[in-house]
Amino acid sequence: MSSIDRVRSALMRVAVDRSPKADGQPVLFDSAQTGVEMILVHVDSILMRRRMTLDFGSSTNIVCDVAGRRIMDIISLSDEALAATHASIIAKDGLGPDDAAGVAELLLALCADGDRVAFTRGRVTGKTNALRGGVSSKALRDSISPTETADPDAPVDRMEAWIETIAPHIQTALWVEEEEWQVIAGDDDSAAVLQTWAEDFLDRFLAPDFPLAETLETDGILTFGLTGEATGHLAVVGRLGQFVVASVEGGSAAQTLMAWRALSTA
Amino acid sequence: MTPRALSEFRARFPACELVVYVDISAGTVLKTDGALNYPQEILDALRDCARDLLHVRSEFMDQAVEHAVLLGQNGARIFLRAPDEPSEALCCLCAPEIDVDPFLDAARAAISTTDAAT
Repeated sequence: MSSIDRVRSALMRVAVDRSPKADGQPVLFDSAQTGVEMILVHVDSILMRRRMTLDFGSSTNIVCDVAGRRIMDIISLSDEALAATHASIIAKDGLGPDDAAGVAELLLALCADGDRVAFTRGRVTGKTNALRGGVSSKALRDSISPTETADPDAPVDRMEAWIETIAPHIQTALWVEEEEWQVIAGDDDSAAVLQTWAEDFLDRFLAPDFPLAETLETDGILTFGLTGEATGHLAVVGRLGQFVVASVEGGSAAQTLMAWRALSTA
Repeated sequence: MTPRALSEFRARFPACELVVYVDISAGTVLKTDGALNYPQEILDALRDCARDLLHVRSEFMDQAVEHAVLLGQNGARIFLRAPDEPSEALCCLCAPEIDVDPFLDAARAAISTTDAAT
């Protein structure tokens, strides 16, 4: 790739979507945990099924299929010793939630032996984009740092905190996680109307051809302000595959956005 | 909206990296002003986002969308429909710390600007 093409592609990804991209350039890490976190940041950014190669230098690389922010399958591992140690994971034809600890151990072992990793991605042909199974990035993080999730003094989830912040203005709100819809504010009739709207909306704006889908699904808020004398607005918050869809009355859309941003930077 | 109005508007907001003035009905990029010279693909992608987001309607909202803002960890994308020309819109690429309310107010004023020098 020429330098002009490299700048061009960098500009493209900055403007269209700023999630991390695999460009084959090695990134350095100073501990195995940091290295695994770098890997999981990339996993978090992959929605459609992709074949990701992680090159740790010294001819050690691992190839895995990732989709929906989950490691679906480990295709190959060049390090024979590690492959033998983790044969039960490598040999599986598709990973599942029960494999989180094993995959986390493997990633930690890979990062423990090096100080850099380069990412490249390719398309997977001949397979569907089924999002069942796999090991989620959240499960991997929990496996690596289980004490973090057990901390009783940990702050409440950011989405819950955001809802509490704007609660006085919320008319109707729905919590969406893996196709489960939960009414968290409003009556059944308004919730049903909002759900109908939100189902159409999420189908359309989480589609892979919508350039902002990754931001919205991974960590973003989208608000719609209306024309005329309307005093309400709609907000959709996405956080690692969970969504809150809310109709808000009173206050500006900007205030709803700022409430989310304040929690993001707190 | 004149090129000067577009440029002066963006100059007021250092956190705004790119402003694109589009006709969402015709699918045309009319004018741009940016800190960098962005390739056409980016401008077209923003135009398409504006078209999709500003056309969101349902029985839940009996009025058209005036503006849509997507705020992520690394940036904000702000889309605003022209008050007097609903087929025209501004698409803005900004840093995440942009102050959205004053930005939208200024964008509304800027997109309403007419100038014989257009």
